[in-house]
Order: sequence, then C-alpha cells, then structure tokens
Amino acid sequence: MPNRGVNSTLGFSCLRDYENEIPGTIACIDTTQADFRTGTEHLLGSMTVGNTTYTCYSTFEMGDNVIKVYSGSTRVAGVEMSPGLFGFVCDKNGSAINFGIITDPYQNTSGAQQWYASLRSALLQGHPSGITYYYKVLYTGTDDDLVTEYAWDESPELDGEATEDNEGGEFADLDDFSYTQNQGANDWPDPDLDFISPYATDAGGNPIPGLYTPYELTPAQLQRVGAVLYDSDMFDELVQKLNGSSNPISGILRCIQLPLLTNLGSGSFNIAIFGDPIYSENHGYANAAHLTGRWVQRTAGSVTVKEVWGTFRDYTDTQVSIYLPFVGTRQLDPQLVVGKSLELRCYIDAYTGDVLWLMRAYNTGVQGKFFESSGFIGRWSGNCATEIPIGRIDNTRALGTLVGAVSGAVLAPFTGGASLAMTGQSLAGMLTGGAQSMGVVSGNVTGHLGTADVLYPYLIVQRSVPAYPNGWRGKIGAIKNETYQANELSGYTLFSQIFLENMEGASGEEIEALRNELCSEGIIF
Amino acid sequence: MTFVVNLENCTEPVLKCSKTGISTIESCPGALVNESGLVRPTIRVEVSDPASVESANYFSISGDIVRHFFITEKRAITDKLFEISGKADLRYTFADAIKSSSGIVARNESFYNMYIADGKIPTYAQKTMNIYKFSGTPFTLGAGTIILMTAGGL
Repeated sequence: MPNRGVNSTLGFSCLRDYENEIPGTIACIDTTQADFRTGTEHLLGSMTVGNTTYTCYSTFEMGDNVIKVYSGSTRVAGVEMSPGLFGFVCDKNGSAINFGIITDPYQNTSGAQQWYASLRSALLQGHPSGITYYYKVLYTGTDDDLVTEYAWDESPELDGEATEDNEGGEFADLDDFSYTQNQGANDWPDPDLDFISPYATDAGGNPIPGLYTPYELTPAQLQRVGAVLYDSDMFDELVQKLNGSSNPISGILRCIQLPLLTNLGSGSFNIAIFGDPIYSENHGYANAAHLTGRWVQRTAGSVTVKEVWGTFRDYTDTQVSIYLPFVGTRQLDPQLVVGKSLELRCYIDAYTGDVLWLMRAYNTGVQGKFFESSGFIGRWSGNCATEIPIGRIDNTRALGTLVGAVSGAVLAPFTGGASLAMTGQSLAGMLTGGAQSMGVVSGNVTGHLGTADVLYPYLIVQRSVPAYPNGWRGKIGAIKNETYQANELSGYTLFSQIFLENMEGASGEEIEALRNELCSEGIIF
Repeated sequence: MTFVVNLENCTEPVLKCSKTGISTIESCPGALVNESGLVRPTIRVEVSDPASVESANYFSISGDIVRHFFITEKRAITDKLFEISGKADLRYTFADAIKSSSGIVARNESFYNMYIADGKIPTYAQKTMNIYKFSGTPFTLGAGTIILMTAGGL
C-alpha cells in the first residue's frame, strides 16, 4: 500500500524540493483538516511556527478522480487536474503564505491563477519572504496503483509526466522512500493498563486477602515498623502463629526507597504480614498507605537541538550524548537528534525501582530523515531503588524484571537486597563500569548510586568548528556534485567529469591533458 | 615546422579560462624542436632583443595553428637564438570549447551544497560543548518514597 502522507484521502504526495536543493524533503498535504467537497473557500486552520502564524485556506473540490479548483467561491472553468504530476507553488509574503497548484510543473507563476491550499511541510521549511518555491506534487487520485507508475526526474527540463525505469540508485522506490508508519500521539506506552491490583473485595466491599501487599511509607512509618516488629510480644506471637517457621521476617518480601514521589499511595492501613496486622503492646499497629498502582509515568520535557552550521558538519562532526539519571551517559546518533525536538519520558516500576527512559524525536522542518512527524528513537533502562535491608531471604524474584543490565552487572543483589548488604559486598562496585570512550561524558551510573549523581536528564552536544580560510570558495570551491553546462558557471570550478565538445583541431593528447587538468586542478571562469 | 611566435607577458592566474591581461613583447619566427609535441613543446626562436625572452613568461603561436603556452624553461643558444620550453595553456586555448561543454561539477565558487561532506576544510582541534537540560525529572532530593512489600495481603 503506497504511502500518501498523513491520513490522506486525496492521495497527495509531494516529493523533493529540487529547486531549493534540500535532499530528502517531503511534504504532505494535511487533508484531515479540510472538507474538500464544499467548493467554497474556507479556513483550514492556523499554524504557528516560531513567532509567525500562518493561515491556510482550501478551495478544492473533489469530483470522481479529478480535482476541480475554485477561486473564492467561483469555480474556475476549464481547469481540472487528473491524477498525475503537477506543480505546487509556495510563495511567502510577510507573514502570509500563498499556495497554488499549477497544471504545468515548470510554468512561471506570474499571470497564472493561484489557489489556496495547505501544505504543512512547506510552512515548516521557514521560507524567506520574497522567494517562490516550486514543488512537484504527485496526485494519485483514488487509484492505489497510480503512484507506482511514476518516477521522479531530477532535472526540471525533463518531462515530468514521463514514466522512467529506475536506473539504479537515482530514484528512490516511491513505496519505501516516503513510506513510514506514523507513530502517533497515542503511541506513548501506558503500562498502567497492565497493572493487576493485588487487592480484591467481596460482595460486601470487605477486603479479601491477596498474595502480597505493597505499602507506601514515610520515613517515620518505616521506623515504626521496625519498632513494632522487634517488639518481643510481636515476635513471640508471630513465631507461634507460624508454628515454628524460622523467621517471621521472611514475610517481608522487600523494602526499597525510591527517589521520587509516586503519587500512588492511598489511604491508611495497618501493615500486615501473612494476612495479619503486625502489632505490639508497646507500639501498637504500624500504618502505611496502600500502593494503588505500580507504574510512575513522568515527562522530562523537550529539548530542541538546532542545526548550528547549516552544513554537513551538523550531522557528521557532531557528537551527542545524553545523560539519564540512574542510567548514565549514552551516545546518540546526531542524525536522529540534530534538527529535531526531543521529548523524554520516564517510566518507573514502583515495585522494583526499574527505570525506563523513552525518547521521541519530532521533526522541526529542518532537513532530516523523518518523513513523518515523529518517531521513538531511543530507550534506556536502569534502576533507581535503594535497598533497605530487612530480611535475609530472597523472595522477590517474582516481582518483576530488573533490567539495569547496562554494564552486564548481576542484579540479583536487588532482589535480595539486604543479604548483599549484610555480607559486605559492594553494590557500587557491581553497578558501575564499562566506561565508554567519550572522555568526561562516559559512564554508567545506576542503582542507588544514581542518587549521588545529577537527577535531571541533559544532552551534551560537542561540535567541531571549521577553519575556513578567507575567500576559500574562490580558491578551492565548495562541493556541488551536479551537472552543468560550463557556460552557466562562474568563478573557480573543479569538475569530476567533463565531456569536451567542439575541440576541432585538438590532438588526442591535448584533449586528454585538458580533461585531466579540469578534473584535477580546476578552472576559473 | 615554422610559425610566428609571440613572446608575451601574462598577468592572469594560471587557471583562468578567459585571459585578457596578456601583452605582446615581441613577435618573431620560430620552429618546433624535433619530436616536440603541442602540450609540452620546445621551440627555437631568434629575437631582435634578448630582453624580450628574459621578460616573457608566456608565448603563443599563430598561423595555421593557434596555441598558447606558459614558458617553463629558457635556454640561450646564441645571444639572439633561444630555445624555449612551454606547457600548453589548454584552458585559454580551448576556452570556447570548454564553455560549450557540460560536465559534473565537483566544486564551485558559486554553486554548492553544504550538506555534502567536504574533507578539504579542516576543523579546529577544540570543539564546542553545549549542555541542553530537559525541563523536568521525576526524581527528587529528599526521602522520596519507601515501598514495603509483605507476603499476604489485606
């Protein structure tokens, strides 16, 4: 199924801004906002990019497989566009953007009638005023197969409606070049949907004992638990109740401290072990809130990494690292980051302290690889729990996956927590390591050690600074890689290949020598 | 093979296609030294003033064949007879043909695409470093939250 853009019901796909020579630019008409059948001019919507608001109108009507165009409310007779190639004009004037569709892709628009339409990508290009840009638009109509019949020409002089075979690498496969599945707004995960409450109630609303109980405590409440547990009356009762079980503390599965507020605690309940509230004559009951959920979902906001040079250096000479609390520092591919707005969210498992960071990159209109608006480009995991040693017995393996294996460290200590601490092994030593070769920006930091590190995420972007000599373009030229007639050129020029013509009277030796000189030393026109 | 040799002075850059800064010093008859081609020829000229050869850095031949050359070497045979070696200025000689040709431009002064990687421009050893902080974090200083998990529920 060829992709035609965002929910496109009209089959608009706009490929390649060849005039502006920004490779990879793809623009799609947002047809979800328009009722193209009204035949009257109406507002599609407004969009704000930076400090400028653009207002877009549409005056198209769809009839069968043909676009009929209107100027205002007046149908423009004789102008119908069948599926195929046509030109799309974007003309910015001050804060307004006018768009038009012209039947001849290469026709100068002066004197041509123009109509209004919306083109989101063109807006995001941030065109300077006073310059008219031409786009080629492939209207596929309602025929799914039509888009595959056309290949894009690189030169505006060629017949845009000609069908050409892909000559091997020149033209992108239309199906895959522009196709990507949109990761929409609803794609952010919601692990709360998987949560199974350990609590149930009977028909009368009375709580039914469950397999385990998660409580949320304040520090004072935790201290009270210790006092109650180790009160001699409590111990004797428990030992009797357990009928000789070696250690009532085995009923405590785990106790961890999380460096965040879960907002999941609710109510006030007596802490129970094996279904019975713990109680001592001297200290009474120990209270705590129930943990009503398992997942803490938080957003860390967004960061936009702009192109600084506006050249290849933004992508090839830039190193990007991201520091994430309880994960450490990771490298990012600048291709996925530069020119994008990056949104970061954090998912924390309150039962285990496992942390998952998820990053989503949004295209800001600067050239990049994305053909849709956004994509999930990174995920990193760690653990933020600090073990509070209580029991010796590891009963927590069933509670969840502890994924902080960023350095391959064994994480069994987290499940048994206290046992490790009491035997004197170093958690820190098992957690850190595997430093990456990025100098000061390397390192893994997870587990409780992360509480001693920075608690907010940040990007580190290192950029190379080019050393341009004065007047360098006139002396060595800048890279182009395009075919030209030599009489179109001026200044210093170096050819990679030139086909010499009209060399009457020249010997073969002269022709070869000239070609070599033009391709190795260049020429000044 | 004999032809007219124009001893000249050229002030234009070597790579320049259309040269206008060429001034003739002396024109005299000349001949190609045997087995000398037109790309790196050696010609023998007899001048009226030896200073013409001394001050020339360029020469051209005219007649049935028109070519332009940079002077690469000068050898005196007698006080007025010289052998001059040259390298063809093919850009100026075939300027019209070059301009009517087409080719793939690798580098140009005016047309360029700065998004294609260019290895000819070096970079400074020092890099800039920027920090971009995310505006939020779920983690806080302080006691945070304590989670206690017990067997059995109520």
